[in-house]
Amino acid sequence: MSSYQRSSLAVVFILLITFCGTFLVSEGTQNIGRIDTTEAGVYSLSEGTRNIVGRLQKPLTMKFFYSKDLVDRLGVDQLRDLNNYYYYVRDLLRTYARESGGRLQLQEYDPQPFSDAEQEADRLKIRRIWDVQNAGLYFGLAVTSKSGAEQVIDMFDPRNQAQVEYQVSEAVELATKPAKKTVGVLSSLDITGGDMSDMMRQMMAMQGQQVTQPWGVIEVLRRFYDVKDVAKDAAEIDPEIQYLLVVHPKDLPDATLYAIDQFVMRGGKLIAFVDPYAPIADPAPRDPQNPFGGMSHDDASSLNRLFEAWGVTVPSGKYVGDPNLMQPMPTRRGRQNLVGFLDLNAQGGAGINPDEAVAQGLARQLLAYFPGTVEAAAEVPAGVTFTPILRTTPEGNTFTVERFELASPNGPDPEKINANFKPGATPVAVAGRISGILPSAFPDGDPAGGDDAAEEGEEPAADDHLASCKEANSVVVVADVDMVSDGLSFQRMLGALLPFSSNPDFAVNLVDYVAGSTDLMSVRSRGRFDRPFTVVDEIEREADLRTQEQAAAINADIQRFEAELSSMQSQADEANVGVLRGEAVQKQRDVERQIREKRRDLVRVQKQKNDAIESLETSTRFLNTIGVPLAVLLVGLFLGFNRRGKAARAQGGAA
Amino acid sequence: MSATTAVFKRELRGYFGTPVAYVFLVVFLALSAFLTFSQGFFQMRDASLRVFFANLPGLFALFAPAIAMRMWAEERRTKTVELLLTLPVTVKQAVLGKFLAGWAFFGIALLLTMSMVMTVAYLGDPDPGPVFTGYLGAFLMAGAYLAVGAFFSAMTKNQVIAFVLGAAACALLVYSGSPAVVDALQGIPLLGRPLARFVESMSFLTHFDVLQRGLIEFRDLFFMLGITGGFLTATVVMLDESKAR
Repeated sequence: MSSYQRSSLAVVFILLITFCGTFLVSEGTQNIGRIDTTEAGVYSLSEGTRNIVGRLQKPLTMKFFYSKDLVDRLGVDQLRDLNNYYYYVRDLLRTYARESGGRLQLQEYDPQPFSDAEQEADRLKIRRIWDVQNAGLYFGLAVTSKSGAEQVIDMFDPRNQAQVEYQVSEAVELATKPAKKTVGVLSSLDITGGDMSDMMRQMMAMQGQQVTQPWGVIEVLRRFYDVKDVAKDAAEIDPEIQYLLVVHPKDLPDATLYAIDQFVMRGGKLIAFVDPYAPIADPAPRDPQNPFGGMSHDDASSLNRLFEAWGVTVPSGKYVGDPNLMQPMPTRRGRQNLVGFLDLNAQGGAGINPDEAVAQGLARQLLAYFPGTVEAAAEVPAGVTFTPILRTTPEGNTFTVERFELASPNGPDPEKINANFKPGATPVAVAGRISGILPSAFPDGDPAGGDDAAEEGEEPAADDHLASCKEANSVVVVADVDMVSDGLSFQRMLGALLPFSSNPDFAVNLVDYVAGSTDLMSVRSRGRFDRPFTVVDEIEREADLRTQEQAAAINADIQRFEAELSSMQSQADEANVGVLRGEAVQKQRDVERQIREKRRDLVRVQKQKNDAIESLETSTRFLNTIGVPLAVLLVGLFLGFNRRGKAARAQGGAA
Repeated sequence: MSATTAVFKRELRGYFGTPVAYVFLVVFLALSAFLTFSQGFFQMRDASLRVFFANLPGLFALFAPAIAMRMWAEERRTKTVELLLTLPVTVKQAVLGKFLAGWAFFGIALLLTMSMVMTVAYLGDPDPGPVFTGYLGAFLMAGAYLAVGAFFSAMTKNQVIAFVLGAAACALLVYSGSPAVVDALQGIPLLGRPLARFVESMSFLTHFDVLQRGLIEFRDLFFMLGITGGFLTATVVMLDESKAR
């Protein structure tokens, strides 16, 4: 073998080793030495998601659909948000796939018209967001398992970017447990309409029997869950029930409280709606003979016997008000703001904790009526935390009102009630989540069982009493019952339920929320990843402000003109009508001309805005495309001539 | 090591001694900025250098072989390579010195694109992490491309051939990771999946993309440095052989 052949062979070997080596290393070191340098850690999954992915037993497939080709073809201008968002979601999904150690497989599709990918997207009910030239725009995800379970996020909405990790983790979690889940409902009010089907209820109604309509929120829940009634004096919670909704519990017997306690200790998920004042959900029975009879009706509920063991309390007689979130009430003097009637979704969701995924993205009002507050109890068990989900703005506060002012037959008088309210300095919690290793509220075991044993002289049963949760658990406390009642949620039109607030969504979200694991609940909302051109935004904002001012000025002009015109008309009498009419015509022409000029001004301001943005683009483009290269060229020329001059001088010197 | 430094200095001075370096810098700066702005950088209103970085793998595939082509081909054609290697310089030192000079030159070119960073910082509030890792990735990628170019330059005496081969190899290493190629490979029965995976992981796109998003991963750094080391070693072997002849 010649030396040339030998070294050629050596080169081939070296390159082969290089390629194979880098491939093997890159396959073998998938999760090693990874540093996320972004400020918000946007490429790092939260602890909760890692746990969910880590628990996966069977492999799942994530089918990710995005019509990148179509978006690119349509041009970037209108769709820039979507493309940026796509990159973010794609990267996040790739991180899921990478961190799952092979249990989550990511398949990315760019559905072309009439392709298999498009058919698959349609089959999985990924939303066809937009239709253009026979091509559909898809941007969604389906998580599928071999057993056929499918969880679909039909569309990734750029406005919902903070929740994307929650959505994906939820889909992954739910794809592993496809069975329909059972929700138990325990209430001192008849809110489920009994365990009967709609058909049975209709038949009974036709036979003239008295049937109670279930609350709308229960009907909505039935679409997603098996809803089971739990008696208000139940001594045991059916083990089939995984989620327990306790609504307006009034004086529950110890045995029932103990059953709820043990349900939570077993890892069951409890959502409790309690209220110090629930006139909408639990109205006083009407008695025409005694209009003030309502004052003796007790519409308060409490579960403090349990809550206080878990570190929180909902004090009775204390209501939450907020001057920023208060809503108007119809009164005899017209609509007046009532400080205890709140829209927690007002002012862009000012009453919702942005870090808790459960109440995000609600479209309509989230109404509460004289909610109570969730406060820290005298003793908080170690390691148990309370995280507010709904809370007032900093100016919100608690206040007290005499019962007779609330129970007046004409309804509460906003002026009198608002006078009792003093703005606060820190937000007050209306709903929240208790989490941690919760201790039992019955440290001595079953209150009934213990007595029996003592009386009968038997040994205390080696029972299955649990003194605390085995694993960390979460309990959701909402200090308002009215918000889930029909009065603040639905209108019934010809038997159909029409929600007028986001309250039912919130209630169902809560169940969905606890249906996920504690890990899922802790999946924090992601940091904002979009970084806009603030300078351009500022230009637009200023221009908009100016156009607004101008538009207001024009409108004022029009109004003034109309007022003048009508006053002229009222002054008109037989004699001067002709003169006035002539004046009016002249005046009208003048004002119309002025309005035209103002409109032109408006267009000019708009154009100025566009010009300012365009000139900014031109100058930055010029600086980078021509300015910097030109500077380099000039430096090069200068150095070149300098060198040449030096060389010439050196030559001259030598000569 | 001083021999390497000497070669490095001589080469770097050599770049700036001719107008070629300035022409290169001007064209590179103008083209990279032009592509960035014409691909909707301003319309996206995203205060990041994503669009700018996205063009670099393609641009480097053109510019790195252009820088590297004269490294050895020229020396071999004018027979100065024999002269260089008779000096008290080992082949290894010469290869390393020339490579580092080319790399430093690329570093200067990248430094001059800082005007893009300033532009973005003026327009908005960019995340500094991805900007830093993007530049780190770009610099490492430039080194790897240069090593590939140096290898082909050492293979031939003709600069043009060196450039064409180098550019072709670089392009292959870039576009092997493009979705079109990966999709096509995945369609091959039986071997499709692993083959697509191999080819994709050999692509600069795959590795640079991770870096420019703000993620530093061991395997991406290893890929860039591994390719650099591998091709430089191959260059040394090639030149050793021609020295022996």
